[in-house]
Amino acid sequence: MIALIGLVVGALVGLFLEPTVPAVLQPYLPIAVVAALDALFGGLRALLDGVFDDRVFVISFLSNVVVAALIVFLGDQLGVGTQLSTAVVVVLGIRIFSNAAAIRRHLLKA
Amino acid sequence: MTADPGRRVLPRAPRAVDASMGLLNDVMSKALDPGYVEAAQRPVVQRGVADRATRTALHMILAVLLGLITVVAVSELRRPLLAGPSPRALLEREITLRSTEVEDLADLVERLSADIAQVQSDAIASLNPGLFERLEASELASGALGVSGPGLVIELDDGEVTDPEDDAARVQDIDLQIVTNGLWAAGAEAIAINGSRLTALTAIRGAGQAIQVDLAPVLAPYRIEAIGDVREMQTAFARSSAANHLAFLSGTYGITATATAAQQLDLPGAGSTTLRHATGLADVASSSAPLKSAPPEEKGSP
Repeated sequence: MIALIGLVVGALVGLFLEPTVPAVLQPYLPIAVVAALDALFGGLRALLDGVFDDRVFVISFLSNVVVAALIVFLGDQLGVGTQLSTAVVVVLGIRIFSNAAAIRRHLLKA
Repeated sequence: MTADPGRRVLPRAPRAVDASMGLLNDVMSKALDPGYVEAAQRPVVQRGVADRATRTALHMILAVLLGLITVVAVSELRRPLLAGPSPRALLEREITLRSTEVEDLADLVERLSADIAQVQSDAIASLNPGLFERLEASELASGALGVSGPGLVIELDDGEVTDPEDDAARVQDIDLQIVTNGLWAAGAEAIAINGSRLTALTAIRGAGQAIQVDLAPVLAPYRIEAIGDVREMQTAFARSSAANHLAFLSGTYGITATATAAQQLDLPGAGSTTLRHATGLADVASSSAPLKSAPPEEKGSP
Protein backbone atom coordinates (compact mmCIF):
# COMPACT_ATOMS: atom_id res chain seq x y z
CA MET A 1 0.00 0.00 0.00
CA ILE A 2 2.82 2.34 0.93
CA ALA A 3 4.24 1.95 -2.58
CA LEU A 4 1.04 3.18 -4.20
CA ILE A 5 0.94 6.17 -1.88
CA GLY A 6 4.57 6.88 -2.67
CA LEU A 7 3.83 6.69 -6.36
CA VAL A 8 1.06 9.24 -6.04
CA VAL A 9 3.28 11.53 -3.95
CA GLY A 10 6.05 11.25 -6.53
CA ALA A 11 3.59 12.00 -9.33
CA LEU A 12 2.35 15.11 -7.50
CA VAL A 13 5.91 16.28 -6.91
CA GLY A 14 6.66 15.78 -10.58
CA LEU A 15 3.58 17.74 -11.60
CA PHE A 16 4.51 20.54 -9.22
CA LEU A 17 8.21 20.85 -10.00
CA GLU A 18 8.14 20.03 -13.72
CA PRO A 19 11.83 19.25 -14.03
CA THR A 20 13.29 19.00 -17.53
CA VAL A 21 14.61 15.74 -18.88
CA PRO A 22 18.10 15.77 -20.41
CA ALA A 23 18.01 15.29 -24.17
CA VAL A 24 20.03 12.07 -23.87
CA LEU A 25 17.12 10.35 -22.12
CA GLN A 26 14.45 11.59 -24.52
CA PRO A 27 14.31 8.49 -26.76
CA TYR A 28 13.64 6.22 -23.78
CA LEU A 29 10.63 8.09 -22.46
CA PRO A 30 7.81 6.60 -24.57
CA ILE A 31 8.75 2.98 -23.89
CA ALA A 32 9.43 3.77 -20.24
CA VAL A 33 5.94 5.20 -19.90
CA VAL A 34 4.39 2.13 -21.50
CA ALA A 35 6.40 -0.10 -19.16
CA ALA A 36 5.30 1.98 -16.18
CA LEU A 37 1.68 1.64 -17.30
CA ASP A 38 2.13 -2.13 -17.49
CA ALA A 39 3.54 -2.27 -13.96
CA LEU A 40 0.77 0.01 -12.73
CA PHE A 41 -1.97 -2.15 -14.20
CA GLY A 42 -0.25 -5.28 -12.85
CA GLY A 43 -0.16 -3.74 -9.38
CA LEU A 44 -3.79 -2.70 -9.57
CA ARG A 45 -4.84 -6.18 -10.58
CA ALA A 46 -2.76 -7.73 -7.79
CA LEU A 47 -4.44 -5.34 -5.38
CA LEU A 48 -7.86 -6.52 -6.52
CA ASP A 49 -6.73 -10.16 -6.49
CA GLY A 50 -5.63 -9.61 -2.91
CA VAL A 51 -2.00 -10.54 -3.53
CA PHE A 52 -0.52 -7.06 -3.68
CA ASP A 53 2.96 -6.74 -2.30
CA ASP A 54 4.90 -3.50 -1.96
CA ARG A 55 8.24 -5.11 -2.63
CA VAL A 56 7.11 -6.95 -5.75
CA PHE A 57 5.34 -3.87 -7.05
CA VAL A 58 8.31 -1.54 -6.62
CA ILE A 59 10.78 -4.03 -8.05
CA SER A 60 8.60 -4.95 -11.02
CA PHE A 61 7.99 -1.28 -11.73
CA LEU A 62 11.67 -0.42 -11.55
CA SER A 63 12.82 -3.40 -13.58
CA ASN A 64 10.13 -2.79 -16.20
CA VAL A 65 11.27 0.78 -16.77
CA VAL A 66 14.95 -0.09 -16.74
CA VAL A 67 14.57 -3.10 -19.03
CA ALA A 68 12.44 -1.12 -21.45
CA ALA A 69 15.03 1.65 -21.60
CA LEU A 70 17.77 -0.94 -22.04
CA ILE A 71 15.92 -2.59 -24.92
CA VAL A 72 15.52 0.73 -26.68
CA PHE A 73 19.19 1.52 -26.11
CA LEU A 74 20.22 -1.90 -27.43
CA GLY A 75 17.91 -1.57 -30.41
CA ASP A 76 19.33 1.84 -31.26
CA GLN A 77 22.86 0.48 -31.05
CA LEU A 78 21.97 -2.44 -33.33
CA GLY A 79 20.01 -0.31 -35.76
CA VAL A 80 16.71 -2.04 -35.05
CA GLY A 81 15.42 0.47 -32.52
CA THR A 82 12.01 0.92 -34.09
CA GLN A 83 11.36 -2.79 -34.53
CA LEU A 84 12.41 -3.63 -30.97
CA SER A 85 10.31 -0.78 -29.61
CA THR A 86 7.35 -2.14 -31.57
CA ALA A 87 7.91 -5.60 -30.13
CA VAL A 88 8.07 -4.21 -26.60
CA VAL A 89 4.94 -2.14 -27.12
CA VAL A 90 3.08 -5.17 -28.50
CA VAL A 91 3.99 -7.44 -25.60
CA LEU A 92 3.37 -4.80 -22.94
CA GLY A 93 0.18 -3.77 -24.71
CA ILE A 94 -1.17 -7.32 -24.58
CA ARG A 95 -0.30 -7.52 -20.89
CA ILE A 96 -1.95 -4.19 -20.17
CA PHE A 97 -5.03 -5.38 -22.01
CA SER A 98 -5.36 -8.66 -20.13
CA ASN A 99 -4.68 -6.98 -16.79
CA ALA A 100 -7.21 -4.29 -17.59
CA ALA A 101 -9.70 -7.02 -18.49
CA ALA A 102 -9.06 -8.75 -15.15
CA ILE A 103 -9.54 -5.45 -13.31
CA ARG A 104 -12.76 -4.89 -15.20
CA ARG A 105 -13.99 -8.36 -14.20
CA HIS A 106 -13.17 -7.58 -10.59
CA LEU A 107 -14.88 -4.22 -10.52
CA LEU A 108 -17.86 -4.78 -12.78
CA LYS A 109 -18.20 -8.57 -12.39
CA ALA A 110 -18.54 -8.78 -16.14
CA MET B 1 16.27 -39.83 -33.85
CA THR B 2 17.34 -43.47 -34.27
CA ALA B 3 16.58 -45.80 -31.40
CA ASP B 4 19.63 -46.77 -29.41
CA PRO B 5 19.30 -50.50 -28.65
CA GLY B 6 20.87 -50.07 -25.24
CA ARG B 7 18.47 -47.37 -24.13
CA ARG B 8 14.72 -47.46 -23.65
CA VAL B 9 12.89 -44.82 -25.64
CA LEU B 10 10.47 -42.95 -23.43
CA PRO B 11 7.06 -42.41 -24.93
CA ARG B 12 6.87 -38.74 -25.69
CA ALA B 13 3.86 -36.66 -24.88
CA PRO B 14 2.06 -35.48 -28.05
CA ARG B 15 3.04 -32.00 -29.14
CA ALA B 16 0.56 -29.40 -28.03
CA VAL B 17 -1.52 -27.97 -30.87
CA ASP B 18 -0.58 -24.42 -29.99
CA ALA B 19 3.03 -25.12 -29.12
CA SER B 20 4.25 -22.63 -31.66
CA MET B 21 2.31 -19.90 -29.88
CA GLY B 22 3.96 -20.54 -26.53
CA LEU B 23 5.28 -17.03 -26.21
CA LEU B 24 1.96 -15.39 -27.00
CA ASN B 25 0.12 -17.79 -24.68
CA ASP B 26 2.59 -16.96 -21.94
CA VAL B 27 2.03 -13.26 -22.43
CA MET B 28 -1.73 -13.67 -22.47
CA SER B 29 -2.23 -16.08 -19.58
CA LYS B 30 0.51 -14.84 -17.27
CA ALA B 31 -0.37 -11.21 -17.60
CA LEU B 32 -0.06 -10.74 -13.87
CA ASP B 33 3.51 -10.66 -12.73
CA PRO B 34 4.13 -14.15 -11.26
CA GLY B 35 6.05 -12.42 -8.49
CA TYR B 36 2.81 -11.40 -6.80
CA VAL B 37 1.58 -14.97 -6.50
CA GLU B 38 4.96 -16.19 -5.31
CA ALA B 39 5.14 -13.45 -2.72
CA ALA B 40 1.66 -14.33 -1.51
CA GLN B 41 2.55 -18.02 -1.20
CA ARG B 42 5.80 -17.34 0.64
CA PRO B 43 5.53 -17.97 4.37
CA VAL B 44 5.17 -14.74 6.30
CA VAL B 45 8.44 -13.73 7.93
CA GLN B 46 8.21 -12.02 11.26
CA ARG B 47 10.51 -9.01 11.23
CA GLY B 48 11.52 -6.54 13.86
CA VAL B 49 10.09 -3.03 14.00
CA ALA B 50 13.30 -1.39 12.79
CA ASP B 51 13.62 -3.83 9.91
CA ARG B 52 10.02 -3.21 8.86
CA ALA B 53 10.51 0.55 9.04
CA THR B 54 13.61 0.51 6.81
CA ARG B 55 11.85 -1.70 4.28
CA THR B 56 8.81 0.57 4.24
CA ALA B 57 10.98 3.65 3.90
CA LEU B 58 12.88 2.05 1.03
CA HIS B 59 9.65 1.13 -0.73
CA MET B 60 8.33 4.61 -0.19
CA ILE B 61 11.44 6.33 -1.56
CA LEU B 62 11.60 4.08 -4.59
CA ALA B 63 7.89 4.50 -5.26
CA VAL B 64 8.15 8.30 -5.00
CA LEU B 65 11.07 8.19 -7.40
CA LEU B 66 9.20 6.00 -9.86
CA GLY B 67 6.09 8.15 -9.72
CA LEU B 68 8.25 11.21 -10.32
CA ILE B 69 9.99 9.59 -13.29
CA THR B 70 6.73 8.49 -14.84
CA VAL B 71 5.01 11.84 -14.53
CA VAL B 72 8.04 13.74 -15.75
CA ALA B 73 8.31 11.41 -18.73
CA VAL B 74 4.63 11.83 -19.52
CA SER B 75 4.73 15.63 -19.26
CA GLU B 76 7.93 15.72 -21.31
CA LEU B 77 6.25 13.66 -24.03
CA ARG B 78 3.24 15.96 -24.04
CA ARG B 79 5.30 19.13 -24.24
CA PRO B 80 5.95 19.26 -28.02
CA LEU B 81 2.20 19.11 -28.59
CA LEU B 82 1.55 22.06 -26.31
CA ALA B 83 4.49 24.34 -27.04
CA GLY B 84 6.84 24.98 -29.92
CA PRO B 85 6.21 26.58 -33.27
CA SER B 86 2.98 25.47 -34.87
CA PRO B 87 3.22 23.59 -38.17
CA ARG B 88 1.11 26.27 -39.81
CA ALA B 89 3.56 29.03 -38.88
CA LEU B 90 6.43 26.87 -40.12
CA LEU B 91 4.68 26.29 -43.43
CA GLU B 92 3.88 29.97 -43.78
CA ARG B 93 7.50 30.87 -43.22
CA GLU B 94 8.55 28.25 -45.73
CA ILE B 95 6.10 29.62 -48.28
CA THR B 96 7.25 33.24 -47.93
CA LEU B 97 10.87 32.10 -48.02
CA ARG B 98 10.36 30.08 -51.18
CA SER B 99 8.28 32.82 -52.78
CA THR B 100 11.06 35.37 -52.36
CA GLU B 101 13.46 32.78 -53.73
CA VAL B 102 11.24 32.33 -56.78
CA GLU B 103 11.04 36.10 -57.24
CA ASP B 104 14.81 36.42 -57.03
CA LEU B 105 15.23 33.67 -59.59
CA ALA B 106 12.64 35.26 -61.87
CA ASP B 107 14.57 38.52 -61.65
CA LEU B 108 17.74 36.66 -62.50
CA VAL B 109 16.06 35.03 -65.50
CA GLU B 110 14.89 38.41 -66.69
CA ARG B 111 18.34 39.93 -66.35
CA LEU B 112 20.03 37.02 -68.08
CA SER B 113 17.45 37.04 -70.86
CA ALA B 114 18.17 40.71 -71.42
CA ASP B 115 21.89 39.94 -71.49
CA ILE B 116 21.35 37.13 -73.96
CA ALA B 117 19.20 39.33 -76.15
CA GLN B 118 21.88 42.00 -76.04
CA VAL B 119 24.66 39.60 -76.93
CA GLN B 120 22.53 38.08 -79.65
CA SER B 121 21.75 41.39 -81.27
CA ASP B 122 25.39 42.46 -81.00
CA ALA B 123 26.53 39.27 -82.65
CA ILE B 124 23.95 38.91 -85.38
CA ALA B 125 22.87 42.47 -86.15
CA SER B 126 26.12 43.46 -87.84
CA LEU B 127 26.78 40.10 -89.48
CA ASN B 128 23.40 39.29 -90.86
CA PRO B 129 20.85 42.11 -90.58
CA GLY B 130 18.20 40.14 -92.43
CA LEU B 131 18.39 37.20 -90.04
CA PHE B 132 18.34 39.53 -87.05
CA GLU B 133 15.18 41.17 -88.31
CA ARG B 134 13.50 37.83 -88.71
CA LEU B 135 14.64 36.78 -85.26
CA GLU B 136 13.26 39.94 -83.70
CA ALA B 137 9.98 39.56 -85.47
CA SER B 138 9.55 35.98 -84.27
CA GLU B 139 10.64 36.91 -80.76
CA LEU B 140 8.02 39.64 -80.76
CA ALA B 141 5.37 37.26 -81.95
CA SER B 142 6.34 34.48 -79.56
CA GLY B 143 6.33 36.78 -76.56
CA ALA B 144 9.99 36.34 -75.72
CA LEU B 145 10.52 40.08 -76.00
CA GLY B 146 8.99 42.74 -73.76
CA VAL B 147 6.65 45.04 -75.62
CA SER B 148 4.95 48.35 -74.93
CA GLY B 149 2.20 50.35 -76.52
CA PRO B 150 -1.42 51.43 -76.11
CA GLY B 151 -3.91 48.81 -75.09
CA LEU B 152 -6.83 47.62 -73.06
CA VAL B 153 -6.80 46.75 -69.34
CA ILE B 154 -9.43 44.45 -67.89
CA GLU B 155 -9.53 44.07 -64.15
CA LEU B 156 -11.35 41.19 -62.50
CA ASP B 157 -11.89 40.85 -58.77
CA ASP B 158 -13.53 38.21 -56.61
CA GLY B 159 -17.06 38.81 -55.42
CA GLU B 160 -17.88 38.80 -51.75
CA VAL B 161 -16.87 35.42 -50.36
CA THR B 162 -19.21 34.49 -47.55
CA ASP B 163 -18.22 30.84 -47.22
CA PRO B 164 -14.49 30.18 -47.52
CA GLU B 165 -15.30 26.66 -48.76
CA ASP B 166 -17.49 27.97 -51.55
CA ASP B 167 -15.56 29.00 -54.65
CA ALA B 168 -18.52 30.24 -56.65
CA ALA B 169 -17.89 33.94 -55.99
CA ARG B 170 -14.20 33.66 -56.82
CA VAL B 171 -12.75 34.28 -60.26
CA GLN B 172 -12.01 30.87 -61.77
CA ASP B 173 -9.34 29.80 -64.21
CA ILE B 174 -12.01 29.33 -66.87
CA ASP B 175 -13.02 33.00 -66.51
CA LEU B 176 -9.48 34.17 -67.20
CA GLN B 177 -9.26 31.73 -70.10
CA ILE B 178 -12.44 33.08 -71.65
CA VAL B 179 -11.35 36.71 -71.23
CA THR B 180 -7.87 36.14 -72.67
CA ASN B 181 -9.26 34.14 -75.58
CA GLY B 182 -11.77 36.92 -76.19
CA LEU B 183 -8.94 39.45 -76.20
CA TRP B 184 -6.86 37.39 -78.62
CA ALA B 185 -9.90 37.10 -80.85
CA ALA B 186 -10.46 40.86 -80.59
CA GLY B 187 -7.03 41.48 -82.04
CA ALA B 188 -4.71 41.72 -79.04
CA GLU B 189 -1.06 41.47 -79.98
CA ALA B 190 0.32 40.73 -76.53
CA ILE B 191 -1.37 39.87 -73.24
CA ALA B 192 -0.14 39.68 -69.66
CA ILE B 193 -2.01 38.65 -66.53
CA ASN B 194 -0.72 40.31 -63.36
CA GLY B 195 2.57 40.97 -65.10
CA SER B 196 2.98 37.45 -66.38
CA ARG B 197 3.22 37.43 -70.16
CA LEU B 198 1.12 34.94 -72.09
CA THR B 199 2.66 33.06 -74.97
CA ALA B 200 1.40 30.28 -77.17
CA LEU B 201 2.63 27.82 -74.55
CA THR B 202 1.31 29.50 -71.41
CA ALA B 203 -1.33 27.59 -69.50
CA ILE B 204 -3.99 29.18 -67.31
CA ARG B 205 -5.10 26.52 -64.92
CA GLY B 206 -6.75 26.11 -61.58
CA ALA B 207 -4.84 24.32 -58.83
CA GLY B 208 -7.10 23.94 -55.83
CA GLN B 209 -8.30 27.44 -55.03
CA ALA B 210 -5.41 29.16 -56.74
CA ILE B 211 -5.14 30.10 -60.38
CA GLN B 212 -1.82 29.43 -62.01
CA VAL B 213 -0.58 31.36 -65.01
CA ASP B 214 2.47 29.78 -66.56
CA LEU B 215 2.68 27.47 -63.51
CA ALA B 216 3.01 30.39 -61.08
CA PRO B 217 0.10 31.31 -58.83
CA VAL B 218 -1.59 34.67 -59.35
CA LEU B 219 -3.89 36.35 -56.85
CA ALA B 220 -6.95 38.56 -57.13
CA PRO B 221 -7.43 41.25 -58.34
CA TYR B 222 -6.50 39.98 -61.77
CA ARG B 223 -5.20 42.65 -64.15
CA ILE B 224 -5.27 41.53 -67.77
CA GLU B 225 -3.33 43.86 -70.01
CA ALA B 226 -3.65 43.55 -73.77
CA ILE B 227 -1.69 45.58 -76.28
CA GLY B 228 -3.28 46.29 -79.61
CA ASP B 229 -5.45 48.73 -81.50
CA VAL B 230 -7.53 50.08 -78.61
CA ARG B 231 -10.66 51.18 -80.41
CA GLU B 232 -10.87 48.09 -82.58
CA MET B 233 -10.23 45.79 -79.61
CA GLN B 234 -12.82 47.53 -77.48
CA THR B 235 -15.50 47.14 -80.12
CA ALA B 236 -14.65 43.56 -80.97
CA PHE B 237 -14.35 42.54 -77.32
CA ALA B 238 -17.67 44.15 -76.40
CA ARG B 239 -19.34 42.08 -79.12
CA SER B 240 -17.65 38.83 -78.15
CA SER B 241 -19.01 36.04 -75.94
CA ALA B 242 -16.30 36.92 -73.39
CA ALA B 243 -18.07 40.22 -72.67
CA ASN B 244 -21.31 38.29 -72.18
CA HIS B 245 -19.51 35.99 -69.81
CA LEU B 246 -18.20 38.94 -67.76
CA ALA B 247 -21.68 40.43 -67.56
CA PHE B 248 -23.00 37.07 -66.41
CA LEU B 249 -20.26 36.81 -63.74
CA SER B 250 -20.94 40.25 -62.30
CA GLY B 251 -24.69 39.67 -62.39
CA THR B 252 -24.64 36.23 -60.79
CA TYR B 253 -21.62 36.17 -58.48
CA GLY B 254 -20.81 39.84 -57.92
CA ILE B 255 -17.45 39.49 -59.62
CA THR B 256 -16.38 42.97 -60.66
CA ALA B 257 -14.96 43.49 -64.13
CA THR B 258 -13.79 46.81 -65.51
CA ALA B 259 -12.31 47.51 -68.91
CA THR B 260 -10.27 50.65 -69.44
CA ALA B 261 -8.15 51.91 -72.28
CA ALA B 262 -4.53 52.74 -71.53
CA GLN B 263 -2.20 54.94 -73.56
CA GLN B 264 0.93 53.12 -72.54
CA LEU B 265 1.30 49.55 -71.35
CA ASP B 266 4.61 47.84 -70.72
CA LEU B 267 4.46 44.06 -70.87
CA PRO B 268 7.50 42.01 -69.88
CA GLY B 269 8.92 39.22 -71.98
CA ALA B 270 8.01 35.67 -71.12
CA GLY B 271 11.43 34.93 -69.72
CA SER B 272 13.76 32.29 -71.00
CA THR B 273 13.39 30.75 -74.40
CA THR B 274 14.33 27.18 -75.05
CA LEU B 275 15.77 25.75 -78.20
CA ARG B 276 13.24 23.19 -79.39
CA HIS B 277 13.85 22.96 -83.07
CA ALA B 278 16.81 23.63 -85.30
CA THR B 279 17.62 23.18 -88.96
CA GLY B 280 20.96 23.41 -90.67
CA LEU B 281 21.79 26.45 -92.75
CA ALA B 282 22.09 25.68 -96.45
CA ASP B 283 25.07 27.95 -97.07
CA VAL B 284 27.31 26.76 -94.25
CA ALA B 285 30.44 24.84 -95.19
CA SER B 286 29.82 21.09 -95.05
CA SER B 287 32.68 20.41 -92.61
CA SER B 288 31.03 22.37 -89.82
CA ALA B 289 27.48 21.53 -90.78
CA PRO B 290 27.04 18.44 -88.57
CA LEU B 291 28.00 20.50 -85.55
CA LYS B 292 25.67 23.38 -86.20
CA SER B 293 22.60 21.56 -87.38
CA ALA B 294 20.39 19.21 -85.48
CA PRO B 295 20.32 15.60 -86.64
CA PRO B 296 17.63 15.15 -89.28
CA GLU B 297 15.55 12.76 -87.17
CA GLU B 298 15.05 15.43 -84.55
CA LYS B 299 13.63 17.82 -87.08
CA GLY B 300 10.13 18.88 -86.27
CA SER B 301 10.13 17.30 -82.83
CA PRO B 302 8.63 19.61 -80.19
